[in-house]
Amino acid sequence: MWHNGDLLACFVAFGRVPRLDNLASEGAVGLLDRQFNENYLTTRADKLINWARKSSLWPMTFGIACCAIEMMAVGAPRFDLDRFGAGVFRATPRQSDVMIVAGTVNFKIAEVVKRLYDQMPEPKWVISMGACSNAGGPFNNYAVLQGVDKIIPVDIYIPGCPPTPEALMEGIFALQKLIEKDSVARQKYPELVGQA
Amino acid sequence: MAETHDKEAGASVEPDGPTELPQEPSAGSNSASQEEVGGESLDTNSASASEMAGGMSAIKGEEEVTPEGEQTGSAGNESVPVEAKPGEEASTKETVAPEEPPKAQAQEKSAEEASPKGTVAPEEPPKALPQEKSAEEASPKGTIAPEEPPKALPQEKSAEAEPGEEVVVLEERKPSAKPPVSASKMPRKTAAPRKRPVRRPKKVVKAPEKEPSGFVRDVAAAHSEIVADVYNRYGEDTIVVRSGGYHSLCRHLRDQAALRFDYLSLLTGAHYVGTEPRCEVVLELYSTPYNRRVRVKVLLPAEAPSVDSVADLWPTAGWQEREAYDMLGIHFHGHSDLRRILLPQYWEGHPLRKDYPWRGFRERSEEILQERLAKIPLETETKPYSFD
Repeated sequence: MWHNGDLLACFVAFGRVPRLDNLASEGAVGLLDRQFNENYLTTRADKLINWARKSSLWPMTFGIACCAIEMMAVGAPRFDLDRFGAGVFRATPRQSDVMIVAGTVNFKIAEVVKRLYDQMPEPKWVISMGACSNAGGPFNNYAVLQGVDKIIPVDIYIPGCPPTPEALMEGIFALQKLIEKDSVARQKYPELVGQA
Repeated sequence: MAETHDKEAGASVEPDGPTELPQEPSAGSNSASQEEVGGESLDTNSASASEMAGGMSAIKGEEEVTPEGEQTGSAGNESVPVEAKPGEEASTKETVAPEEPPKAQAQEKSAEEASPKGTVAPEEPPKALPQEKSAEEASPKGTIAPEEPPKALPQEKSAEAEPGEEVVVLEERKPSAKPPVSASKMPRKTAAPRKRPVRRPKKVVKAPEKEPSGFVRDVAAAHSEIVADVYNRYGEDTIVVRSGGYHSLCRHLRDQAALRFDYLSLLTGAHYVGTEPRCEVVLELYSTPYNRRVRVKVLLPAEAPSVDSVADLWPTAGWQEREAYDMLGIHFHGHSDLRRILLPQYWEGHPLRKDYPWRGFRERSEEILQERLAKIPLETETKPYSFD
């Protein structure tokens, strides 16, 4: 029944479902118009699921230092992260998909970062924003952890001190591309799929 | 090395050099023969540089030559002058234009002298020749303009010869102007080391000192057994005390009807290198009724510094004493909750002490962190789906 994530998902669209024409125009979905009683859309389950995931990235509200100011700017109307479905900053890790580590991670906050990451439900992603969380930044001293990837796995690194809002958006786009490549089966049963 | 340099320089000047060489028969032949001998032992880089310069007479190429030319040039000076000088003198006598022809044959010597005229070289004190002096005067102009040699030339000549002749010579030289620049640039750096701005010793400004205010003197008199010093610098009253009766002094400052220092604006610590009481606790007090300020410094030994807490007098001192404890390791007796306030509780050491390493013990800190992270229970454990 389950063929390496290549499941053919057929479902019926009743009336007008605005997002689905988007899908069709992206080439993700083949539209078999008027071949059957109703309109059928065919696609791979991975494509559909990944499309849903990448289009509704909910970041966690968690700014550690000055990078958070830029992160707020991205969420605000001028840059408006909502255009890409990633503007719904959640106040709890249990509702969020992506953690944007925006700032200096010192030893004291490191435990909190790790705990919050653990509390996020799968699937989850981490964006390391700025020089500090990438590699300690200018703070090569006793108190600062030299890179948040020492404690949690990082998907996207954004350089800058701090990165511009555009840079953070670019990072989110990069994350969306990363999600597109993902496979549901691969996540749960890597031994079934093999490494791609 | 000397000969090799000759060779290079000759090569670099080449495009125009050959045309000039015939003008001076004796010196030119001499140097040429020497050049042939040494030609093989060129340094690789200097050789390449000379090629570059020879190939393109553009200013870029010449500039690139300069660093190597400079090195070899210093060595080259020893041997060359012997042949160079006569040629040079001869040239000056024979032709109207003094510096150009000598360059072609004995580059270093002539170049040294020519350079100041042509290019920057503002300070060339040792040379007594009249040409150079004129060049010195000319130099400031020369620095700005890219076509230096033509500019500089007339002035030298004006120093030596009649104005009418110069002009004629100038026209002749113009085509050959560029290569000489390259030759002249080489010694330029040796001749004119870059001047650094002279640094005058900083004035030691002594803190303007006044008589301490009356109330401070009264306090000091009342606690004379613990007060080590009382002074007023920059208009700020300071009482330096030993740690013994410090708490009672603070209470006195706060409760006396004539003092009423009811506001603690700052409590902090300090750790010094070199001075004997290495640690200090500093209090900045303010009296709201009298609009007066006073500073209290408590001298402490470096080993296990400890004082009485003043958190019972000014509650705001609580956290500030915690900070002083966290950063400097000063213990405050009577503090109700003397924990670290900035660093994590498991931290070892006090980072603002001068003997604490700049990077701290980061490897150790990371180890501790990883150990602690491993202990955090995983709260979200998802079970794999079953599709049956």
